[in-house]
Amino acid sequence: MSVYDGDQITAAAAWRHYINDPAKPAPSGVLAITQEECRRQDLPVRPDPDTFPAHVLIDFREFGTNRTKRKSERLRDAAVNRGWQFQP
Amino acid sequence: MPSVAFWRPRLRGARFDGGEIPLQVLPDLAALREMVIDVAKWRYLQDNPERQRAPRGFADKIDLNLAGIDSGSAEPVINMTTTEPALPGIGLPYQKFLSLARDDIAALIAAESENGSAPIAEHLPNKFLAYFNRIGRSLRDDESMEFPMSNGSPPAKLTKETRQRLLQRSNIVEFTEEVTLRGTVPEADQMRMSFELQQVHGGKVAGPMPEQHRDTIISAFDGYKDNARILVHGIGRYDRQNRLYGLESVEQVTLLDPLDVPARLDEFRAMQDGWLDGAGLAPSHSGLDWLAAGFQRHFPDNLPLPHLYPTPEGGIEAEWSLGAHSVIFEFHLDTHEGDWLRFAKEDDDDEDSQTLNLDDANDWQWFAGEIRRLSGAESPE
Repeated sequence: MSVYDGDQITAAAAWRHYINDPAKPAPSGVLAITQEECRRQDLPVRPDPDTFPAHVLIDFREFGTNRTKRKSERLRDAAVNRGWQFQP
Repeated sequence: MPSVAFWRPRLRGARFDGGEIPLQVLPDLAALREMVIDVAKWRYLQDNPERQRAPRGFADKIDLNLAGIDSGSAEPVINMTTTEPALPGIGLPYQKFLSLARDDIAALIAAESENGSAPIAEHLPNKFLAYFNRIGRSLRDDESMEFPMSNGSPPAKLTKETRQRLLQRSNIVEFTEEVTLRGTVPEADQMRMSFELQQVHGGKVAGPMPEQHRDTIISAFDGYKDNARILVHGIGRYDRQNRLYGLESVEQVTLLDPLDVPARLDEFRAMQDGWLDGAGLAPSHSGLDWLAAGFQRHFPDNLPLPHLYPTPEGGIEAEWSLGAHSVIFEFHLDTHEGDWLRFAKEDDDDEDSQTLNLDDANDWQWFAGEIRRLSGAESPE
């Protein structure tokens, strides 16, 4: 899963960076998860500066489809509970 | 009043299978009556070239009436009636011309349906094609009107496609068509009684705001910033390039659930390939049509609606949070299969999954049944 590093870029700047690509659907805003929440789901997190400096990947490859869906949902719920970090 | 049997066009399609005709088809028959009488007048003048006009009261003396529907089939029984006494051995006044008009119209439709390039002038002057703006307007994709031919040939068949081709060959600049639209209401004018609908996928169209629908439309206008949406059923205006540019009339307006499935699927129509960091496939429009139709047909109204998301593979994922359980259902728009996954939120070992064939109504029924069971919703009577 492709995300932005909140230590390197603000939520508002991440949104502006994302919408620069016209092929992407317009997002409603920006949500956030923590490294700890990823760790609890046994999901490795690694920087990917080759794509762009603030780019980070959360690696689901170790898990099958059903486990991936479960873990994704838990991360999503954590993000929603935290609330929007930015909305246009 | 004397009357004689005149015509029995047959309506074919799923809506008519029970032998009943929806009232919304009646305007098509009313337009057919107008065309028959107009063509009959033309026929009279062809037969009487010394006359400049049809006889006074031509249309008053004779008429076409709906006498009933043939039981067991969707065949409106149309009789010709007259206010004049029928003369023995001669028949009703002007009966010959109405019968010729009927045959001309059937021949025109048959020629267009079979050939598609026959000159209209062989059958009727081009001006009469404008009647097809209303005749056949209520037909849906799988439907047709069949008109018996007096010469014993197979019935002339009018479908949506045949009607479109007839209209393209006419001189009219604006077509009308039944439409069902979903969108928000960015503008409403209560003095002019009009409003604008911003379609979920598509442009803005303006239309009249009937008094009986004012409250619903204004409610959507008030909720515009919260993305309140309405479903509008009415008659749309199209130009000759088949672009919708307005609403001629509004018949039904309904405030939509925020999770309305067809509206959400419409949002995905603007997606393009490469939407996910260059890798995502956009869901196909035909796939979205299939899924919207499937939900309308098979998913009961009283069940909770899902949140919908596109998948990188071009599918659609539906998610429900149902108490202690989560359900994730992935629709594969290309194969018409669906992957069901239910799991308990707090128990990693409690889950079940399977693949369903969504071209099978039984699998939809199972799927809806599980959602009902997990949500605690009641079964419909």
